[in-house]
Amino acid sequence: MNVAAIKNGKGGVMPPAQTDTVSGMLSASGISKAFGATQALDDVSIRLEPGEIHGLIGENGAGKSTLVKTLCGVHRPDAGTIEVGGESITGWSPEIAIASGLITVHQDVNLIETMTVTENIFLNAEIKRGPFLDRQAMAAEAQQLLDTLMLEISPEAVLGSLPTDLRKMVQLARAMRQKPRVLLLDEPTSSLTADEVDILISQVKSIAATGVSVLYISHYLNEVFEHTQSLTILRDGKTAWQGATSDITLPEAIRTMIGGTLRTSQKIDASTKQLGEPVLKLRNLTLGHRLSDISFDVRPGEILGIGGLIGAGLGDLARTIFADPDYRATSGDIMMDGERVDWTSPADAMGAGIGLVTNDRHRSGAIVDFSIADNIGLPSLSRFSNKFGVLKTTALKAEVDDQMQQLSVKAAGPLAALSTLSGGNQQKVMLAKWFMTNPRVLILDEPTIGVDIGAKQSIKDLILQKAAEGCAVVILSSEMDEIVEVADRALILFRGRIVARLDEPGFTQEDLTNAANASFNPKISTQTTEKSVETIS
Amino acid sequence: MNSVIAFGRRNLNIIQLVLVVLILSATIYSMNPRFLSPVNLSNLLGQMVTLLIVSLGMTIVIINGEFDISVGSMVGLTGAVMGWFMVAMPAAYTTPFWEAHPVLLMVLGISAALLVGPMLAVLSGLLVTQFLIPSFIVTLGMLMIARSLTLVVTGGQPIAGIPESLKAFGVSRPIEIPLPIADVGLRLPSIFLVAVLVYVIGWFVMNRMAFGRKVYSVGANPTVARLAGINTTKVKLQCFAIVGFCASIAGVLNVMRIGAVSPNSGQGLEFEVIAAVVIGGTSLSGGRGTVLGTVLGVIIIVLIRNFLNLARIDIFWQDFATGAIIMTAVILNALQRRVSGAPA
Repeated sequence: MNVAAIKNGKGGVMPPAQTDTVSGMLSASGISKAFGATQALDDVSIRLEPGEIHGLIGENGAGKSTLVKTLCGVHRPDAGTIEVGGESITGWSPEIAIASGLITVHQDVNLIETMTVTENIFLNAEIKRGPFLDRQAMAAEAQQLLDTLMLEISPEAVLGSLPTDLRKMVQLARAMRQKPRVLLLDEPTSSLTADEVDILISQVKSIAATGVSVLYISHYLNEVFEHTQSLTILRDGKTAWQGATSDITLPEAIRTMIGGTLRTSQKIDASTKQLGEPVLKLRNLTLGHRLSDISFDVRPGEILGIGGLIGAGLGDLARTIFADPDYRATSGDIMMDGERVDWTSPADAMGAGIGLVTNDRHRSGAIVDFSIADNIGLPSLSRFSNKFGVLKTTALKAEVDDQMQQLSVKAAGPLAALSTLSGGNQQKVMLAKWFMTNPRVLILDEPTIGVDIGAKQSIKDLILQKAAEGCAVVILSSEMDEIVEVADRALILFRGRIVARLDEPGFTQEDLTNAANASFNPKISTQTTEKSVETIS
Repeated sequence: MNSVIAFGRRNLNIIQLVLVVLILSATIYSMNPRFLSPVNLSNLLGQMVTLLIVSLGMTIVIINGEFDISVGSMVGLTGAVMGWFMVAMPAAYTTPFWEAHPVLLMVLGISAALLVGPMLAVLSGLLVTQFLIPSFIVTLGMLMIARSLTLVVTGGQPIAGIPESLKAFGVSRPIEIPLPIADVGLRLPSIFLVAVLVYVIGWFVMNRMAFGRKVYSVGANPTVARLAGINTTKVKLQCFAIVGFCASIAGVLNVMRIGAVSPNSGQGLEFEVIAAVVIGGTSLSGGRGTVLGTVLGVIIIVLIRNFLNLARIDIFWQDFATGAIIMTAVILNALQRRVSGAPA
């Protein structure tokens, strides 16, 4: 373990980018980590030379975040060794990782909004003169760091007053202050606009030029391909490919990521479907800078898939359609049955027949303390109470029982607390909750997130069944195989815009993944009728 | 058998509280057998009415994820308003009309008093929901405002001269329950019966009405509630109205029981109320708690007070004991959740 790096940092006022000549070098070998029966990482090795930018890609659940969490000391691996600069790390904790020079810039901006830029950069590593804070020294060093990163922000600015991209840069400045030998960047660009991405990447390159090794984890394959020298592709916890980035093409990488084998879809042939007039239409729906000009139609009985990477705005779109007050559309129209609607709350949207299964069960979907029946009944309270508001408990329980059987929810009974159920069964309860409102349009935001393969399959079956009953289904997902399996048509969202429309059945997972990496010039399959692919860079 | 175990697991908290009540009762009885005498029990029931009714409102507002610490002042202000309408106003504006219609005066006084709590509590609720200020701070302000208004309305002096019929109701004990252990039966005070009625309604609202589900869900997770189509602001305001109304009912009954308006009545009540609610198992973070638990929490508070008196514990040490017991109850709840693996 090397603690010299951080000791040197105390009191030093010179930015590390200019003076620190210690070679950064990471060597992780044979890393394995299991969670219960799931082998999240299986014998993964990565080696980074000084100054190298190494890309790490893979599908959701491939093991990227487990690897990052292992490297930055959050998880202790079951097997394997990690060496930084030739010295092996023997203990596992975030403090040890930081002390050895393994600095992580996490996906979420985890800084304190009420503090200034300087205070954030020096949080828990303040420069002191005796027992007192040396504000002058910190301000000077912060200014120097910001200059190095070519950031025109005041070190005295309160973080909360800065836009998201600059906060990300402050996070980078804080990482620089910690004298990294290896910099782990976890989805550094997911909340940034195209211009901001360019700035960030040029900063990362200049950091690497000083000898720091960078591990660049991203869903944006085009960024990874443009800016990394070497690449690791993870699939199902194993290294699926490793080598120089120039040795592989993007389409090959995508095939490697998804495993090449595409599951056959069991969906009903769209051509045999009797589709009526569109029930829900969106026209140029815009939500600030997060969503622009979203337009689509969806008909009863049809499943529309909307794919996109994390950060593409799938969740924002779902909430905007559902009239969540925190996601009020800034312009554009929503139409039901051809009539423009003006919903101001989810209750309005529900009244018109919309249902929304949100993408985060814990934060916005489930109340785990509640029983299954109480969770399922929540959006249907008015239907199951008389005019005085007295609940018809017997009727409610009977229908909940019925839903639980249809969805084969495994639980002790409708009165069992939701917290006693497995993730897959909890997710089924989320579906049941909205199935019971008899929606005309069901919006499913990442409906199979955090559930095992078996439950995934039965959830997809349920979605197909619901559409067969005449419900219009919009499924938003970052897992392209899911869209291929259930959707009749697909849209691809990229940084809040629709960049591709695949209107004819027969599109493949590769088509979708290619389109989702829009600024890589994608050869979308010939079945695509409307190639409204925009290049955003 | 399995269903018995399941019932036990679901109601573990209630079962524990009942055990505590039994143990406390047995201890007090062994110290002084007169504790279980019908007269003493009847007195205890009358004395706990204020605490009972206010605690119900507090339970609902805390389950909803908010707080109202102004309840004690609200009890005082309600009594003051009632006294002003029934005594001060007719005295100041003597008219033949009021002398001819004493019943109308009573109805007017009680109605006005019952409106005070809900109105001011909804005002607190509006500040909380519109300006997103923590309810603790808003109702702390309301606590001081309402206490000040009480002193203004009463002039800082007790108001006597409450109509005799109301006083009579306040001390009447119309129902007698025969007890196997004594010759005389347990006489239930009228105001206690009012409290029982309030609790029956409260239990029904929280367990058998859609509104109850909304209160729990808004307290447990406002985002989930909002995305299920629930108007969370409206539910919060309704809960504030309920806690204010409970404080006003308690204030009116309190005047009837004492037979006069005291400018200090209800002072410090909020501490006992919150203690009772917390001991009853209601989570201060919202979404979790029961009406029945609160009943038991109130009984435990009253028993502890009785016990400390009977044990001749120095009055200066009594709050120390109550405070320690509250902490123990909260720690036990937290440990229990940790053991059962439920989220805190």
